[in-house]
Amino acid sequence: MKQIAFVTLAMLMWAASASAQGTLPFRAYVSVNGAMQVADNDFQDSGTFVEHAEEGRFDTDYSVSHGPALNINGGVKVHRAIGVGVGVTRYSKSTPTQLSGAVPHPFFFDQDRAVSGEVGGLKREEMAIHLRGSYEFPTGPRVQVMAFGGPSFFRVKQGMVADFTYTDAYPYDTATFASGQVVEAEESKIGFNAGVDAAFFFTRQLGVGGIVQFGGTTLDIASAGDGTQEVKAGGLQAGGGLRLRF
Amino acid sequence: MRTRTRSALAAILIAVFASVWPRQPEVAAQSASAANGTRVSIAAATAGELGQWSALLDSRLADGSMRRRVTYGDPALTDRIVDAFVQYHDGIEVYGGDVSRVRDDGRTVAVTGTVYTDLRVDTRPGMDAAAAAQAIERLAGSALVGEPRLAIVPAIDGRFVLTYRGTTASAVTYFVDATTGDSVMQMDEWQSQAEVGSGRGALGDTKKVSASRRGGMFAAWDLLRPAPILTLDTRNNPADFMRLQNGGAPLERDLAVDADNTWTDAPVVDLHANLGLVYDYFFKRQNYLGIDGNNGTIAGVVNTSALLPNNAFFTPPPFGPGGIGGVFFGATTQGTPFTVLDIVGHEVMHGIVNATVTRRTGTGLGNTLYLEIGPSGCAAPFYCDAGRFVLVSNDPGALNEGLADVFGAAIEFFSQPAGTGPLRADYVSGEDLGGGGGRSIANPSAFNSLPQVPYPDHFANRILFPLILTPTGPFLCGTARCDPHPTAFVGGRVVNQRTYVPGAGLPLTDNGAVHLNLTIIGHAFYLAIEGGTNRTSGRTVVGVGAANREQVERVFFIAVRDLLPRGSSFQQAATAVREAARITYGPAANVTRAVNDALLAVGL
Repeated sequence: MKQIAFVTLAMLMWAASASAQGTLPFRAYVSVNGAMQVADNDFQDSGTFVEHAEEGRFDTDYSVSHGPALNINGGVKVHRAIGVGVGVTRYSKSTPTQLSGAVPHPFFFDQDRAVSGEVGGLKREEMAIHLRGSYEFPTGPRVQVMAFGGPSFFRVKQGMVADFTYTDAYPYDTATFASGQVVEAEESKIGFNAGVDAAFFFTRQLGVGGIVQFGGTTLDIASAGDGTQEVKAGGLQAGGGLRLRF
Repeated sequence: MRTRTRSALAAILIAVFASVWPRQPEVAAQSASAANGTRVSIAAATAGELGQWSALLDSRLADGSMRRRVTYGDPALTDRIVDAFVQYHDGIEVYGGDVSRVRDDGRTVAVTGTVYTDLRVDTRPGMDAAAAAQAIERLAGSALVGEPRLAIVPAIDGRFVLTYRGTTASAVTYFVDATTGDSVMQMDEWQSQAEVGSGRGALGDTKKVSASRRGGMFAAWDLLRPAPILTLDTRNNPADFMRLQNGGAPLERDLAVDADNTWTDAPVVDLHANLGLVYDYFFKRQNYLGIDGNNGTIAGVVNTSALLPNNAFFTPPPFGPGGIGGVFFGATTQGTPFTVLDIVGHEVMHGIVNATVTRRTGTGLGNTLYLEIGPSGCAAPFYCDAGRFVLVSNDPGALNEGLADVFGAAIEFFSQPAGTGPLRADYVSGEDLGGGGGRSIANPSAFNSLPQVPYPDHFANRILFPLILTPTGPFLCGTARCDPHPTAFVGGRVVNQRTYVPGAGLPLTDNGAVHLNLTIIGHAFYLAIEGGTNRTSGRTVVGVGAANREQVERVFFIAVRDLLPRGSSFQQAATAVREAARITYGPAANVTRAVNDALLAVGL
């Protein structure tokens, strides 16, 4: 992450040194992108419970895989090629979760029954608001290349397995996973964003373009066990869409 | 089609209803007749039926046969009113006669409940409330909370009975006949819910206790196994012990309870947990359900140490708690409870022998004296045959005990790791009581049955007692009348010369050596599994090996369950075991060969 921030800063500095080469033919822009969040933010959690006078345990593997995201950005030039802007990225994806647990036996100590299964209906929702400083590289009138970076505000909702149910029957030597009890954990944190946007304009105001950005952070969300569980949000995103400039 | 069918049904029900409660509207109902009253379940569906029921309820309110118990609204629906009614007959509540009516903005939208019509019940009680209170407390063994009230209840046979209703401190509501004081109905006010606790046994081992929550306490009542398992605690009360032993109903206070489900009463912990393990063994290994084979309640009684020193026993139906049979456990004179696993298994196996043989023959294995002519030298008061002693042994009794030891050991090997010492599986009975145990089916002669008389490892070494002649006939030596000596024979020779103490009497003959000759069949079981050489016969047996012990256990169990005749001799039992092996595993099977060799090795 630090490396990416450094690269972004270097790009902006390089761009500033070249700003005397020309000015941009617009003062504001809006871009709407369909993007792909490239990173997999899988994580694990665990919890304990007391059943049959003994402590049981379950572990959960959350698959937060890459997936589509919606990205909307807008900004204005404040000085020659330098601008400021704001962007919003929304990522939402179901997060199939594998649960494996050890359920105490009702009659014997230290004879846990192993259960496993998939918990459905869990979802990851990420909303990131990016504040940006930007620089537009001097190019031709139809092509626009812009580098940007800045802080991001991340709000993450994650469906978490807080408990689970199982079925068993006498003699209780085995148990079968039945369902997961899902709760929604929600957390916010400041991160950062940096990236490059390139566009081609068919007309003076309308065009298409692509964006590659990294925006991410690490949050501590409520764990099924005691305390919190560290999860990553965001990551590398690439996409494309419409460009408007005014 | 559905509507038409329902209409036809409604017409029939209305007709039934009309015949039993005049002046009622033509409404849909389901009714059931009884000798002195009729039960009507209200099932109003149409607006007309609802309106008629509502009007009827209002009229019954006016004449006092229905009383409004409560009226309340629905906070979410301001126009909704719910009326709850209860039925009375001659001023006495009719238990179960309850009706609910729901109205929206004054319009009846639902009527449900039950009423009893055409009641013909004498409402004059034959006893007063004080006498009823005594009757309830006597039934419950617990104090009544509040005063008993009159109520008419539908009994289980359909009659309507005038009763007194009272709830005791044990959270059971009793309805007793208002004339006789007999119980008509009982309701447990506590809902039992299985809840596993833990406790420490007499050997310091922590184990789980499959308990149930009853009110604010936890009871040793296992609801997790298919057969309910109850552990009752007499708390050394002689009257309770006798009541439970003699078929009296278990009372709420008999249940072993604990306040926090962390059990500290070691005998209760051990018995309750071990009864569960024993159930598990027979379920998993023998596909057998509980003691009676039908998952009937298993009742264990504990904490009878002062009443049952150095002993434990099974008592068959109609004895035991509630007449269902039961296993009772005392303690050693050092205070160690007899609730160790192999002894619990031993006593439960007695119950299984009794149940399975009774199912096939009508009675249990029984007690039969098998006679043998002993050595010469017999004289009065002994019963003689041409100057020779007439000796007897109770073979079915010894087989019963021996098979109980066999499965006591089998259960240990099923539930505990093999080894020596506490909580280890072995072939010694009662080793966890301390003192190294009482008898061994691996090496019977390692323990003495009588002073200087080892337990027999061979049929030829079985212990026999002489009959004594009394005015009423031959009598098995067992009381002071057996004096003078000798008292016990093995292999035609006297083995137990006893010192005569006038007035002290002689030790009992153990009902014909049932706890002495038991090792013969047990040793055969051992040899069939582990192999070895019988010391008496010198025959060597190649056992099936510990890994295949299940096969030998299966053979012995099938012999008991399906083949063993009542009053069985040792020879008949051996035949049953051989046949069980043959029909289960085939004549050429290794286990069949091992069982046969083992029986031959012990002289059977």
